[in-house]
This record gives sequence, structure tokens and C-alpha cells, in this order.
Amino acid sequence: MSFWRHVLTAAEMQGRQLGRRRVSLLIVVALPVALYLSQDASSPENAIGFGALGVAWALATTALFAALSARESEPRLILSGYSSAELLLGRLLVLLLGGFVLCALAAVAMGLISKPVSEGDMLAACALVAVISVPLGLAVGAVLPTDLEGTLVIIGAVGVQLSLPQNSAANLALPLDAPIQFASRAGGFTGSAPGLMLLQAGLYTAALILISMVAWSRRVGRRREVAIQAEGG
Amino acid sequence: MRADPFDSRVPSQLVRSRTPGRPALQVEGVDKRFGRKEVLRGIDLSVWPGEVVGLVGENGCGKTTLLRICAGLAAPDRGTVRISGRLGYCPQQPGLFDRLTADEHLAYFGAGRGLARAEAVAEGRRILGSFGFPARERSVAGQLSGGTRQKLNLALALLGRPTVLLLDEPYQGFDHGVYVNFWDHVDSWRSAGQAILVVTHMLAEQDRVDRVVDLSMARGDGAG
Repeated sequence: MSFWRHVLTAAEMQGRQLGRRRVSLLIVVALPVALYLSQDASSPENAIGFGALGVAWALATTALFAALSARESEPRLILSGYSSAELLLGRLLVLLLGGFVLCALAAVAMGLISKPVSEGDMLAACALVAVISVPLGLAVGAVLPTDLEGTLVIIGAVGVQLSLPQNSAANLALPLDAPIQFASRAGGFTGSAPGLMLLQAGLYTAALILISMVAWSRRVGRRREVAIQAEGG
Repeated sequence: MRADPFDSRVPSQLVRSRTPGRPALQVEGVDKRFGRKEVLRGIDLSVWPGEVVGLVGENGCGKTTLLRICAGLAAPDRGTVRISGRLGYCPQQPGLFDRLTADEHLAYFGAGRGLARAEAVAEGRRILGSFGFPARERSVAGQLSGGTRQKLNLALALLGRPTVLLLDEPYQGFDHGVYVNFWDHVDSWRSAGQAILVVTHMLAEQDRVDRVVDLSMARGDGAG
């Protein structure tokens, strides 16, 4: 019972903090829009993929900064009774919720402008972007020491994904391959089998969440050399 | 139980009393190095319920590090810390969320302590009020002055009536009246049976604590 109360309280407070970063939220929306529209003007057949990667970059960066801004304060929350898993899960929930809203808006806009061959594939691409990029940002934030390194890694991951040819085997090693494959199918290109892409996305998401949990617990968790006994215990 | 090696080094006039019974905070054989620099060596320290121990020492002698180890936020290279009951920790730098209000902080930290939201806010507001925190203050923490942030920082440590209080120069930024008032609060927390370890530079206030532990001396590079 207290587990879910802690998770929901953490999610609420994370949501309040994010909601008050209005300029950042504006940039989070503007960046994928700019990337999508610029690609739509020059090479419209690839615009959905670029739009999806723009959303991925925005979400992963938001998750990264949400994690980094909590680094100083969350050890105290753990002293007050939270576990690192509860705090991470609360953050994951609220970021996923925001991510799905952003992806839904992006899907509607791209559906109206790009007229995809397969709307189902486009929706799958947008949904997977949220599912993968939020844990990606959290994992990077948990593992790397500062915002500069984290931002560079995320820019690198998205940039390499943007520049690789679609049929390159190296795509498989990158976290956002599955949504890009779905976006290609939505644009009328061939892509990998949907089942394989979903499996790949699921494995990546699970691995990123696992990395986040382990690294975050090591970063903010209580040290085992300190034993706290209940009063009178 | 091992003897506390500091006692023999503490000026006798600064030793008031020791409450008999089981220590609420017990530190045994704690060593800590940062690279080649030894910060803490063989630290043994006990704080009993209803006792206030002042932790003093020159800059860099390991006061904050020892408190962080006691709180479980830093790992010692060797040694253990045992705490009986609930811990409240007030760090030197307020670890606040810049975009949350005071009430939201109280609700957030209170939920961790098992308090209902209204209960946490009411208790926190009462504590904040006793430090002179403005009752109508609704700004987010990032917009508060340094002293006001520090009051919130201290109130979060006190929420839920912890049995052990670790206070790392908790009065920084307080104006004079609130600072004097802070030591009156320490007296009342002691009377309520709380075990308090407070880092202080204020030599004039050392008569307000029951024992003084000088980490510079304990480390062996001071008068000891």
C-alpha cells in the first residue's frame, strides 16, 4: 500500500516540477516540430522518421534532466522512507504519460501533413518512441556524472540513428531502431517484421529500465554499512 | 561496548552529562579516505537519547563526511554505524526541489515518513512557524531566500519526530533572533529525548551542548 502511495506521490511531485518548466516544455515541443517540418520540406518521404527521432530526442533529454535534477534531493527522500525504485518508478510513470501525450500530438500532426501509407505503423512508431526514449534518458542520467556528458550521449545516439542508412546492420545495436523501422513502413518503405521490431523494442526498454534501477539505486541509495533498527528493536 | 576515545580529549568543562542507556547513534571504527587523503580514522562515537553532541573541527577535518556516513549517504572504508529508531538529517546545503513549494516539500517528505498529506503539512507548518517561516509563503523553493530555504531544510529533517537528528550547521543564513531561538529548540528536542549530533563552528554556543567532539583532535593532527 505504501509502495504505491510513494510511487504516486513521487509521480505527482515530478509532474508538478516538470509542469513548472514552461520554457523547457515549449522547447520539447518545438524541437521535434522543427525537425519534422524541415525534413518534410526537403524529403517528405523521410519526414515521419525524422519527426519520431525529434520526439525521441526531446523525451530522452527531458528524462535525463528530470533524473539529474533529482540527484541532490532524492537521497534525503530515501532517508525519509522512500526506496530508489519507488522514486524511479514515479518519475518513469509521469514521463511516460507526458511522452504518450506528446507522441499522440505528433502522430495526429504527422498523419494530417504526411498522409502515411500505414497509419498503424506510424502510431506504433510514435508509441515506441515514448516507451524507449524515456528509459533511455533515465538510464543515461543514472549512469553518467553530469548533464553535459548525458546530453552528448543522447545527441550522439539520435544523431547516429539519423545518419545511418536504413538497411545498415548497425541499426540493430541502436535503441531507437524499432520505431524508425515502423516509421519507414509508415512512409511506404520496407522494414523489418513488426514482431521482431516489437521484441527488439521490448528488450531495449527492459534493459534500459534495469540499468536505470541498478545505477540509480547505487547513486542515491543508503549505504549498507549503516544499520537502522526500529525503535526499541 | 567500546569506550568513546574522544571523551579523554574533550575539555572537562565541556562535558555535562551522559544519559545512561543504549545509544541512539553508535559509530564504530569508521575510516574514510578520499584518494590519498585520510579524512577519518578509527572514529568511535555514541550519542544517547536526550543528549546533544557538538561536532567541531577545522575545515576539511571530516565533520560533514562523518554526518553523511552516519546518514548512510556515504560509505565508510571501514567501520559501521548503528541507529536505533528514526533518523532526521539536515544537510549543510539544502537538498530542496527548486520548483516545489514548502507545502509540497512537506507533503512529499511526509509521505515517506508515513504521514497523511494534511498531517504532514500541518506538522511542517507548525515547525516552520516556530522558526519564523512566513505563514503565507507560497513561492517555490528556488525563489526563497537562503535563510528561508534553510528553515525549510531543517523542518524537513524534523518532520515525523525522528529519534536521531543529524544537523550539519543547520542555522546558516538565519538572522540573529532565529539563531538564538534555534538553540532553544535544541534544548526542547533534547528534553523530548531526541539524540542530536550537530556540526557547529560557533564556539560561543558550545555550552548549549552536552559534549563536544573535536574531529581535528580525534584524527591525531590536532592537540590530541
